[in-house]
Amino acid sequence: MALSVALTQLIDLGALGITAYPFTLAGWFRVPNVNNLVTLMGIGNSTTGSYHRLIFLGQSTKSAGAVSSITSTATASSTTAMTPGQWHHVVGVFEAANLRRVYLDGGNVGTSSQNRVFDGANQYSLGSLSSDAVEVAEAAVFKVALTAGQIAMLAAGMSPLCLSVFAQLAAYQSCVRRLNWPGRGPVASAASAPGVAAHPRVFWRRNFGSQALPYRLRGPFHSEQTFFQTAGPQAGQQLMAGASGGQMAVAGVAAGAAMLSGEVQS
Amino acid sequence: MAIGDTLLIFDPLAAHPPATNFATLDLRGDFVVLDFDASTNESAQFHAVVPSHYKGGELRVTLTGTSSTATSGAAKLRVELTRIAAGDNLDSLPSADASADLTVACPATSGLLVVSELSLLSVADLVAGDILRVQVTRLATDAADIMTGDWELVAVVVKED
Repeated sequence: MALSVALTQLIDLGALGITAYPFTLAGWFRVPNVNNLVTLMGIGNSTTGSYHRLIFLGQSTKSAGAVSSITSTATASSTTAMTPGQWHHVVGVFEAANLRRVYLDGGNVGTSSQNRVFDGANQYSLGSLSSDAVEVAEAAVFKVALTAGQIAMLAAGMSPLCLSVFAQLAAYQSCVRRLNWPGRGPVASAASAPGVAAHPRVFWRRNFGSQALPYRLRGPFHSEQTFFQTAGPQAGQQLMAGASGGQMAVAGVAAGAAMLSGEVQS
Repeated sequence: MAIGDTLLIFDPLAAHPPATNFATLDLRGDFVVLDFDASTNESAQFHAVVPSHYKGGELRVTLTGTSSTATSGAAKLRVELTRIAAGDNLDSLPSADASADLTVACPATSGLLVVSELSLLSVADLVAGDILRVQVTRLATDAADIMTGDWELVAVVVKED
């Protein structure tokens, strides 16, 4: 379940500690069918008014954009349009003052090389800055410039948590029904509760599912408290304190608290 | 190994969603769940390497889930098992080796967990070290599926019988 966010539900995460290029903004977005420019996510400087954002150019080409605005705007636009009502993966790589790129669905790359010198950022917001609500999921800010290969993996559905540059995540919000589950970076808050929408296609694990593996204990073992059962069905067996025939006691495991099924080789 | 040993455990975060009509991630309280729609047949896929203690027996699949909102009716579910082994092409995987359907009665209170066990499934030639795909589908368009709202999958367990 993704979140639907307009200005009144704008998600605020505060400062991310991004002090220079490069950095990357990424997320899944479903935009409304409007003829307006819609902000998707961004970081900004509340003192100077500068910002770096992902945008939907609904007022013109309907493409996705990565814009840096420092005195004036410089926008990289994707080569194809976003379709309102469909999930799209949008990434803005702000690589240097004179290089920013936008990726739509893992490709369709647009580039802008106008010079915009970074002057700091103390705000991070997620969602639309107008009444045109946008649906948001798997939003991430990386303190590095993602490669085309990494962006292709995200667009294929891999969670940002699965990338090898996971340690460079400055902020992450899955937006599965609510904020901060799981969250990385500053705690997110919203002025009012965002709406809920169906989540896009996302893989959360790089590995396979869980095997239920038996314990395999290898001997030889030395037991200091053993006795021999002299009568009953277990007569002649060597028992360890606390264990019955065919079982093995393991230090730290209380009786009845755990079952260790598997092989014991001695 | 003994009969009834658990081989595989999947939670919703282990799902590999198919390209279309996939069950979607959601939260129910603190639990991650997969939502299966009431009007479209949606699926979730899970993959795992069959562990070394598998001895070639039949497989018993257990599904744990609940309803999103409904308090009556029933959801119809299908589980398909596919052996993926050396020589199989990842670009054109074999069709399912075994399949079973199950009609799960909706709990009287939404949120109450329902544990459902399917009939035994036999996957020919499956051995330890193979990959097993477990696909769970809600047959929402089936006449027997009469539950409104989503069905929420919480866990999938595969045991050897």
